[in-house]
Amino acid sequence: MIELEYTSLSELRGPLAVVSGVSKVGWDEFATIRLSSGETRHGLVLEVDRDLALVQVLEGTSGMAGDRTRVAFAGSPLRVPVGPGWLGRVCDGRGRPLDGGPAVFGASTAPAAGFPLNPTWRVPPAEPVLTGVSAIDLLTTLVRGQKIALFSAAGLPHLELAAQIAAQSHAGGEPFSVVFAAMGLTHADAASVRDALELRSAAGELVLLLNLADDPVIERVLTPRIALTVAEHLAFEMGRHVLVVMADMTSYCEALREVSAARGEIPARRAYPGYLYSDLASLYERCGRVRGRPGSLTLLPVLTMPAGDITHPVPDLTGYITEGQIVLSPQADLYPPIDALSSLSRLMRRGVGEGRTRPEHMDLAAQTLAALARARQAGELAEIVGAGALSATDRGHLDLARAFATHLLTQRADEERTLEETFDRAWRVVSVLPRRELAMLGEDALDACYREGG
Amino acid sequence: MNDPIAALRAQLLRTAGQEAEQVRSQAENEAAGRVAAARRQAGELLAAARAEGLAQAAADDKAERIKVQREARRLILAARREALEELRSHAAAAVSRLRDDQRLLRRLRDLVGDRLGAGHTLTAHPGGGIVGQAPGRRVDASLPTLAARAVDEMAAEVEQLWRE
Repeated sequence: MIELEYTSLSELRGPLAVVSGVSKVGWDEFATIRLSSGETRHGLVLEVDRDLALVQVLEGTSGMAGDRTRVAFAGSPLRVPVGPGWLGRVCDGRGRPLDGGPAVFGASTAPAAGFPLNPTWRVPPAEPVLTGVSAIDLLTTLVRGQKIALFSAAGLPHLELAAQIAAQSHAGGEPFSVVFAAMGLTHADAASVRDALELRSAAGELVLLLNLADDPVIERVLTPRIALTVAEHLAFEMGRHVLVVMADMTSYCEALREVSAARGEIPARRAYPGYLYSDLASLYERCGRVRGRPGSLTLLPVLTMPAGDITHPVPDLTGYITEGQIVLSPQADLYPPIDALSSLSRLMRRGVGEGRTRPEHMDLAAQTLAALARARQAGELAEIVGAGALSATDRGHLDLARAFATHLLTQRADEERTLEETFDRAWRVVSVLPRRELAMLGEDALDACYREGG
Repeated sequence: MNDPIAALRAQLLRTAGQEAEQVRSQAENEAAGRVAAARRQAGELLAAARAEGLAQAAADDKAERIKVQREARRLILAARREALEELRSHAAAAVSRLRDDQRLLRRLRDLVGDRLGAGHTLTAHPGGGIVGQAPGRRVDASLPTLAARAVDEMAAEVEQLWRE
């Protein structure tokens, strides 16, 4: 309880402070910095060399005086209190309350960097997380324990969709929580996210961490780690199914680049640090299910592709790690503008089917995608030869694509669709085609659900 | 006498009658079609207006619920914060009663001395307790600081203030 403070700052440069005369201080240790004004700031140890410690001050070093500032080291990397006290709370990117409440306490603490999980304890993802968004539930079903990215571009409503998913998702009556880590959001975006998630928050099912665009960048580096630490406890200790939404990971990666530059590290592709892949993996790989534990941690990172470039390092490296992607298209003039043909949930087979969603789910999704692919080809052909020159079957597929956009894809931002409603709409869409064209669907399913005449 | 054009007149009349009938029937069909289309359109407009009204009402209702929930949540959290602040002030008041406890002060001096090593100086804190200093290092063992840290470290026990 009695804390040793160091009072000799030998250098202040940008966000960095060099503390001299230190002993037994370790790399990545968490530091508390007290100014003569009474203000408290926080920092992380970036380097230690003999009795010098290089501390990155989260809130910046402006106003700090070399001889009147005290620095105390925690003796360990940042630890986060964990427990049910987080549910229903709105905090900043470092976990300090923004909702007028007291600081969040917990029965125990856990390291923000997380414990590496023994790979043999992992259980493959299974069972669905239902989002209430038809296009996702039908075609790219989220599976409990999966990591699936939402790829978007500037100007698209990815944040609105992420908030809608966070507000509506459920695990079919089993205990469910959402941890929403917002990074680099403008104040207006943060307000809209809060509005969208208010009822879930009031129900004590949500943890909202808001790192705003004008918050310190190193705090942005901590935000997803704190969110995941809180989520891991909710999932693996408290047995809840937890969906972690992290938006926007591109902002996170830019913060990582800024911190890396401040550390003087050698830049790699587009000036991002060479360890960007392993850093992203250290976040994304924290999802999953653990043998013998009832909960699961599903991860939905949202990222904006700069200039819509899917080969940019952030989406590129994210794509290597995640198990599928939901792609938003700037061409689609509707909400949600999901590009069904570019989207994929690689583990969907483990989350759908009899006893999970509906027996015909995989077949219906495959049939819908196959028909949409043919409709795209027919549309391209129609641009050359004119729609009148298309075969009746091709015209049928174009009709199906229109019906898909109108009846299934288009959905209000506050509209939660049940699985039954989604399947009802999906069958209406495929029934636009003659029954003979639906070769991927079983006879039993067709007999039960196909609607003659569309 | 026979009218030589009677047959022709009759034929023309019949044709005219048939044409008139055809035109009337077409007009009736068209009118019926238009009326049906108008009814359908009116029905659709009505349904759309009804759906829009319901959606708007639902949105208004949701907005109102959000407002109410937010206010309720704000009040609960503010009450929890106040409870915590009260605990802090009680702890500070309780600990200030120990300011003349010589055994405690001796113990604090020893602890501070251990942390700072040789060559340190000790100063009494106005709130009770002591503050030790050595070149480049400092230890705050003042009673208000120790009381505040004790509350912080109580962690889960603090939550019992509003969980019970």
